[in-house]
Amino acid sequence: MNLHRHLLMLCAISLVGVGRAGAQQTIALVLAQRNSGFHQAIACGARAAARELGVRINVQAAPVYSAVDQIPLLNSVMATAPDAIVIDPAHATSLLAPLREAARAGAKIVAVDTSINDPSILSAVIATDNVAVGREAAEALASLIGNRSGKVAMINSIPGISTVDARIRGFEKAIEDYPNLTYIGNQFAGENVPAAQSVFVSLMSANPDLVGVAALSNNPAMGVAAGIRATGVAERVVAVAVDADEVEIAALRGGFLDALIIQRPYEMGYEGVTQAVAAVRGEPVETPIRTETVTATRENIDQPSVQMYLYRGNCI
Amino acid sequence: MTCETDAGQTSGSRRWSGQWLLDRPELMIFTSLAIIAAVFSFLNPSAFLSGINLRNMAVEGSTALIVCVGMTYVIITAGIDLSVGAVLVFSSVCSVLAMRAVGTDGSWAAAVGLLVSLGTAAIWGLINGMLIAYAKLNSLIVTLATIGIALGGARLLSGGVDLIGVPESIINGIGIGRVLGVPVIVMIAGVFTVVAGVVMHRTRFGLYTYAIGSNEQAARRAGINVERHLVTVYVIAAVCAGLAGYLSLTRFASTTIAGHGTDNLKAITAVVLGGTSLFGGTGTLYGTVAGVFIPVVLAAGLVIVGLPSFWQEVAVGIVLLLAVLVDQLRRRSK
Repeated sequence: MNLHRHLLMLCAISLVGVGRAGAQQTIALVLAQRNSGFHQAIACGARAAARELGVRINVQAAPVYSAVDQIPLLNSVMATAPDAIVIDPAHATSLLAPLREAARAGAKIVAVDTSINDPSILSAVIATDNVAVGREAAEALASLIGNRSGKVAMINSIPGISTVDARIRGFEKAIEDYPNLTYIGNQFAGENVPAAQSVFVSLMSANPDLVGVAALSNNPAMGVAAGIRATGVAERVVAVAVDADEVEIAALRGGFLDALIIQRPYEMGYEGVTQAVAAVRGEPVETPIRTETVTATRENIDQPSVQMYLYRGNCI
Repeated sequence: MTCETDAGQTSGSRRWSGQWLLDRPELMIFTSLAIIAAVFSFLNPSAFLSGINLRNMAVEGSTALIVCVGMTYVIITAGIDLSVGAVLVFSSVCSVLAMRAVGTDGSWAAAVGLLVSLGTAAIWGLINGMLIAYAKLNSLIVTLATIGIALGGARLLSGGVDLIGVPESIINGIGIGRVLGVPVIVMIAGVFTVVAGVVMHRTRFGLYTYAIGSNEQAARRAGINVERHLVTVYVIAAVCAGLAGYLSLTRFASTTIAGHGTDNLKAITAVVLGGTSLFGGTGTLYGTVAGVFIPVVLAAGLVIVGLPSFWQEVAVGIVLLLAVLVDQLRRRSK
């Protein structure tokens, strides 16, 4: 399988020019990032749906999570005139103009994970209820801390990403319900693991009575886990994170993280392609689709009902 | 613009046309560009030669080209400017804040935004230039340091969030605007590059730039005010970044703080691919044009032929190595 795949890639240049299938529909998946388990899982779900529905799929992913890299990629993909685009827009405003142009060119557009400021050009939106993700993170944190009292904090990636902003809102609202916990605020560390680690270490030294920390996406979560390992406070600080990259799962098993709120990116990719194909074929489209979450702890991480949602795959 | 700088050396060997080609690195690189474009045109003509792809490549190349124009000047003086991406981000953040402050969406706001963008960029160029020319600090270290200050400053001013609020008039008029099918950004970059090329290859200013790069001592003895000239060159590089920052605002309808981390390396790659020596003294602006478009055409073409993302990185790296290798073989054969 693997050898076959590599050969296929090496031959891709020579094959694609020739192999334009006649009536078969083509769906393009334009991801905002290539180095992440989350995006790998979206791609795997999309490929699975494409196989079942008998459509061709072209998966492309930008090198860095930024509109600057995703827009030229989208334009290049549009040059191949796909019937539909499934995309996780890196920015709600910047992607508007190119997506409008894609819609004018006749492509159906489906947004997964995040949306854009003008949803009218979208055939469907498939995303997690991110306010609920934040709320679940706060609830998991509070229940793991139990009736101890002390300070809790958040470390997150970048302000202005709609998904992360919604999670922060959900967390901040829900944490108010626990009078034993004093929320001391959120720090942004960028999509940068070492930066998140150093923010955690600083927070810990400034607040020795910290009992809980939450990181609502993968990169800051890995930084927090590394910080907890470095400061040796795993016993008294409860850490809750969002997503289920390999490193986060290892940290959960190692005791550095205590709960993971896991999204279902595979389902986003699967439903994204399914709804895109429905839109192309003129069949009824289901939108918006709210994908569920599942909370993983050390106790349930090996159960099949959790294992099936871990972010894995090699589909980009 | 025509080539002027090395006309003296080549006039004698014009009888053998192959030698004439070998003497002009920028022509070699144009040939490579043409071959790459021809391969993609052959593999998938309907997609590669479609309007949307040609426009996409032209616009991508244009914004990069403006940054590379400044970088070419700097590298010809045997310097380097790593801060171009950070200056681009800083000036675009200041520009949006200024346009928001003006409030109205009209040519007035657009002009203020442009002036602020170019002005704040020029200040960074002045800082870089003074430290390099008068304090005699190494350009690599100085501009490495200003990256941090400019990016941190941009995040302080914007609160770390990408700012929206770019006037609709410039988004529609410049960012996605076209005249007779040609994107406005491409026309701006074209005019800008031609002017910069004429200055580099046809004026005393350009000649001094080459002179400083090939032998600073000699240039000083010939009476050139080397310090002042170097400061001007770094200001030019920064102003180029400022212009690119303004155009990037009109293209993305927001600042793009996280999107320019490797602009400096991309610009250096393009300039060197275009035949400019990192040791200074030689190089042409039209070589840079070809150097800019090789990675752009490769990136678009590889997506169009459907190569998976990670293989694209490998392929781009290999082609860049080949281009530099061919160039080195050419130099040795001389």
